Amino acid sequence: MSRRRVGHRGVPAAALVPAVLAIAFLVLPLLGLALRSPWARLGEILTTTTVRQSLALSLWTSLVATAVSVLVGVPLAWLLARGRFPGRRVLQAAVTLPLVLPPVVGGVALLGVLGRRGLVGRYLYDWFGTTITFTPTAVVLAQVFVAMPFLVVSVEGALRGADERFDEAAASLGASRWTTMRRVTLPLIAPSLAAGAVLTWARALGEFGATITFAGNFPGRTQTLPLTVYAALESDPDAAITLSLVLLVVCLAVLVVLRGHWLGQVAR
Amino acid sequence: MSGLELVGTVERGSFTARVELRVAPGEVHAVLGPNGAGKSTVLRTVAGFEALRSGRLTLAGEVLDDVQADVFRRPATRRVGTVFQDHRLFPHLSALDNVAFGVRSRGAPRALADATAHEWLERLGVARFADRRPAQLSGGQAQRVAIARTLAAEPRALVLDEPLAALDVHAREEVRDALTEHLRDFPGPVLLVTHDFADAVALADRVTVLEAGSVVQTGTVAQVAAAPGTDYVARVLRGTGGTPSSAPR
Repeated sequence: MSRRRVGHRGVPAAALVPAVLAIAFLVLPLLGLALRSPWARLGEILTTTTVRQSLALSLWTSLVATAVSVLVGVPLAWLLARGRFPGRRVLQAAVTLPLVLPPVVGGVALLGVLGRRGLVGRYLYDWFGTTITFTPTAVVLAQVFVAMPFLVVSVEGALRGADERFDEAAASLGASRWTTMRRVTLPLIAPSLAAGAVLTWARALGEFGATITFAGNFPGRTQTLPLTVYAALESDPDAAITLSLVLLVVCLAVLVVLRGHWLGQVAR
Repeated sequence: MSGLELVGTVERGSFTARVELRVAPGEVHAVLGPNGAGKSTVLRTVAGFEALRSGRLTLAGEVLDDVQADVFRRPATRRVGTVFQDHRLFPHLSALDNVAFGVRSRGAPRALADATAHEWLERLGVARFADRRPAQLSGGQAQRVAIARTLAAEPRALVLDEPLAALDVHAREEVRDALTEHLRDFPGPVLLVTHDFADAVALADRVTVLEAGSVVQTGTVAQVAAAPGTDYVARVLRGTGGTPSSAPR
């Protein structure tokens, strides 16, 4: 016997048409990317010097940016979640601002501070004769700026939700706050930390606006994958499509991994 | 006095209780009272999870909390071992690593900490579960590992928060026996919070009865049993005939 559905929360037919339109709009371009990919030239495109350089650059800069984000982002999340000091809420807002800020604005802001005539960059140039702008370091900094908030928000939320009973147990055993954080709290929120790191890495890998503004677009030096895609659009559209496909596949993989996390499957 | 001494007002949220407690070294002192009487708050204050509202808390002559003198020692530096009702074993660590955690926190190198932890697991009769995670232990086993963990950290005083209340009848027996043995050997003062007079009879030397935020009676277990000070005590006493009186909460 089939179960009768008594739906008060069903979807009216009138909503189906726009919904299908929305799906088509979101999915068709991605499908088109796969369909228009020059599969025959795939190997050739992926092994050109420019592409290889930008692949390598993107890979290592995004990984370094993720590592930096974890290194300083976790303590920051800790401070925001557990610290008691005036202005905490303001700081919280400031830290999450890059999530909604146009990346190009981030790039301009970084230039204003670290550029050759920037607030800090001026002294770097005067004293050490170096500038960060237009170097791979600038690529990393741009990525950290836009991507770290993902890590901070994810870890801060987990720390807030972490069970304080275990902190009490650790303290009663004589463990310092540092030991407790390192050996109890962080391992317990490891799934959230991992998810935040993956999200951060994906965001860093896809970073475009702040990078091109602050680090420039120099092949082999600051031209990351998204910048190569943009540059190739005129000279070699096939390459642009192929590289876009590469980025798409990476993002799909990230989604699959994170979906596992949201469903609690990554947690041991 | 060289034991544990608490004279003052404890506070949690809007709740306050006026308490006077003296526990000698080697003495097991039960704090008995109905739910909401402030027993757990007393325990949390001794452990350092709550601060005194007024008064003074000392252990072996050392001030742990003194409102007037503005002294407050954090839990991690008090060396007051705590056994919780809900064992609170770290879920990501094996039984052995749980017990070794406290030993290592006190500065022991890993190998020594593991050896010490193993010894304590043996003493509590749970050495064969050394490699198991807390989720793979029964309630009684987990509580025995938790007791091993607390004792292995060599605390100067012990506080136990309803250590049997979350267990089924069988496990309760098992853990009560383990406690009887190890509390007897413990050299420092022991504070046991319970709402079950049977636990107090089995484990404690002296009893302080706390009701509605104040001490209503204190004395040896026998004294309190012979002359219950309030209706509550009398009722709890009648409940200790055969089966444990604690109703499931």
